[in-house]
Amino acid sequence: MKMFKLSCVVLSIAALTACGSDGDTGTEGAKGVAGTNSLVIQTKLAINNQHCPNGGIQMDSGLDADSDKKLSAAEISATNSICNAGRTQLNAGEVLTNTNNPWYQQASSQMATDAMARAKIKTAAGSAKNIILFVGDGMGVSTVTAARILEGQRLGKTGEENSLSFDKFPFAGLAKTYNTDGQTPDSAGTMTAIVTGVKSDKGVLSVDENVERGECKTVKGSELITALELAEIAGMSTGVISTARITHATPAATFAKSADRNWEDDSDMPAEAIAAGCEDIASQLINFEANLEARYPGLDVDGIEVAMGGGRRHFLPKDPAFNSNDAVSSTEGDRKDGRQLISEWQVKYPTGSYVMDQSGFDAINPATTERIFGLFNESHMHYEADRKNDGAGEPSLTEMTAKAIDVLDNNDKGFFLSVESGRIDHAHHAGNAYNALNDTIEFAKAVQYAVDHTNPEETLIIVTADHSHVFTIAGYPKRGNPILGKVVKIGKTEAATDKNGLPYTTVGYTNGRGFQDLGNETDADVGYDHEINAGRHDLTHVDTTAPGFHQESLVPRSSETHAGEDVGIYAIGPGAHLITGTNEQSIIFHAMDYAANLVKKANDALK
Amino acid sequence: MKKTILVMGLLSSVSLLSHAHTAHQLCDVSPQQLGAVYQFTQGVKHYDMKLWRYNGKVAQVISQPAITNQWNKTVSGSQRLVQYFDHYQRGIEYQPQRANDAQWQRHTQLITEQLLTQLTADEVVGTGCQQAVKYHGKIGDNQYQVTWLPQLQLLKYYQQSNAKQTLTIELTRLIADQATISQQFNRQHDYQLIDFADIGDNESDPFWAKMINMGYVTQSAGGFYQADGREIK
Repeated sequence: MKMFKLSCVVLSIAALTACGSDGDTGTEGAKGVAGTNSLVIQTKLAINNQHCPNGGIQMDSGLDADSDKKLSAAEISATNSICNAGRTQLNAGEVLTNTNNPWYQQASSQMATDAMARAKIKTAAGSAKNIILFVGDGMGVSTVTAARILEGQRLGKTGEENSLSFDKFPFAGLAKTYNTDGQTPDSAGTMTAIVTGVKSDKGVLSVDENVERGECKTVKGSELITALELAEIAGMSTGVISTARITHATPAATFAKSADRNWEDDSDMPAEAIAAGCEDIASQLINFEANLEARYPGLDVDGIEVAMGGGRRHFLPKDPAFNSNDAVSSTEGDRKDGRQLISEWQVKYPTGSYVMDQSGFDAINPATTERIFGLFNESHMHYEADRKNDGAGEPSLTEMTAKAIDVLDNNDKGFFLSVESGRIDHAHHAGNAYNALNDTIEFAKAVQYAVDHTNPEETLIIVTADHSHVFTIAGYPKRGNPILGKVVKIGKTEAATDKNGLPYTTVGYTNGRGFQDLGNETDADVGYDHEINAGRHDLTHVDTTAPGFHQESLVPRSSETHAGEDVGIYAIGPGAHLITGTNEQSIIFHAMDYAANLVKKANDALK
Repeated sequence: MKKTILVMGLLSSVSLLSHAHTAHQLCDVSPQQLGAVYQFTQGVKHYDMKLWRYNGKVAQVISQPAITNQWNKTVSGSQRLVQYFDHYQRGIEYQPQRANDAQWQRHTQLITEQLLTQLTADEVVGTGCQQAVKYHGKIGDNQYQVTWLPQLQLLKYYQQSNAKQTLTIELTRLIADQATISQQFNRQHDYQLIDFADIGDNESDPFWAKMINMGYVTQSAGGFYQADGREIK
């Protein structure tokens, strides 16, 4: 480092006398008049000086006309500056406070690890043999953050520093989620964008925005091909899993095309839609193979190998004689056309395994099973925290993911698997953060299983959400404060209070049903049994961390709503480098296509 | 054959046990399959509610607004509500709830048997289906007068009063015709149903959008509703 010291140098110039020649010394002349001193003053310039941004020295010079040995402003005849050079590096001693800090060391180490992970990513098109798409329905960024903290706190940590499994992925970006006709989206339009590469309207499945919702006749010509279909055509194994009904919007967008997400069975459809030839979503799942082959003459595919979720009602006739032993309705099935689609599936795939409960699921040997059709609930499967209360028992999302991978990876051509945690969304709609976060943690476990049981050099794993919710993390709680608890500020032990003296929670909702204290209730939907209760309430004696606590909301509504901000996309494996920056949500399809050459492989298969 | 029994005057009282035995032999109406029409009175407000029991299911129907709450028990013993909006031919299916006998009794009988045990039985009157036990008592701030039809497991008269209000429920008609009863449970066959969990994803539907913004009747613990369909607290 260059350093300058302040100094002031005064130079005097002596009067000169004339010199004689070599002759005799002449008579001494008269003494000359004393000369005028010239003075130079050096002044240190501070950093950010207008002439010297890095500091330096200003040199003022002139004649001391009044001989007071000072250089007044009027006497300055010249001013020059010598500027310091900019600093280009710190010495080690100067940054010890930083480098000895564990946060600094952790981040530095993380950066190095990330760099190594990024360097290992295969970037060439077609590098991925397998693709697993994880979608947390309604899992906005605030949900990811809160779930990460909750998971960390359950592990005995303060929580904020924790990372969910997909937080550790080397690449991440953001997705703009709006639908073509809506600022705040729904799952149908967003999942259409994710699996087809084409953004579309709210409420429609894998058809473009030229369709009119609910109008069957507008479907023809608007149908989009999905990543799952491309994979199927390419000869890969295919699977779709959800904790919601398998006919629900997010899973359905992978295999069905519909002018209305609610056409889950024929009883949900207007008569004119059926007459016009539109097929309900459940039927499209059963007829997937035939329908795909019909669209591409000469194509021979083997159908979806794994389909698991809830929604038995849409596959059974509306006749109590067809009730399963896990039925909750007096008549479980909804179909009016009398078709028993589960039986139809079993006829089509006699070597496949249909299962509807935990014991049947557990009995499946994935090494020898070619195909699984699992319908574990009449409607949606249970929240993870409430799974123990299912009558016949149902597997967790992690268990389903594990079984699916173990079945699908028997194909040398690879596989495409879509996994949805469908009930994060439902818990938020019910205003129950506990179940939303708990299901997100289970979702992260399923992702970790996939990471641990696939080859990272040949499997692209993308984790994202279809949309967000009006779920906020607010107040100024101290580090480690229970994420589901009341706000306790830094240095305090008692809950902070609002203007009215009432404590408040860290997490809450902008709209929805509002406060309920349902104790240890693990089913978020029980909140619907109570009146809307928005606004502030006295939480002084309420355990807000209990499963049955429903957070306060501002705007009273029967159901909390989606939100319109971006959601995260997280990626690991071949092609993961494409997931960066802020993107239209439809980029996810294109990343998957690039990574596995889905379109090219499908085209090759069709030649 | 359509069979309607009008619940009318009371007969003389005899001992509880012997009378119950005799009456049982004379009542040919199944308590599991019947309809009952009640009039609710609270202050100057009156409204009717119909109670239907059929094949293990129970339905409560109010006409303003036209709402039917129907419960059934699942294989695991949970209770499951479907709420029908009859004018719109729509319905909401709720998740089954773990519930105790008292809650099921509120749906099927309007009152719990535990309440009866807390009251004093005054007299037994009538025979057969119309055998009635009269109760009275005070619990907390509330005075109760209850007339109970044990053969039908049915409330005949209920009055709950306190310093602020009086609620009266009167049985005005008993329906035993099987065709009429079964029709009450079949008429919603073609209604369009939705899971409550899916309501939030269906705001593009004008009906559900209206319901979401207004709020609507929810699964009631007590089974007593005001004229606007809201639960009486």
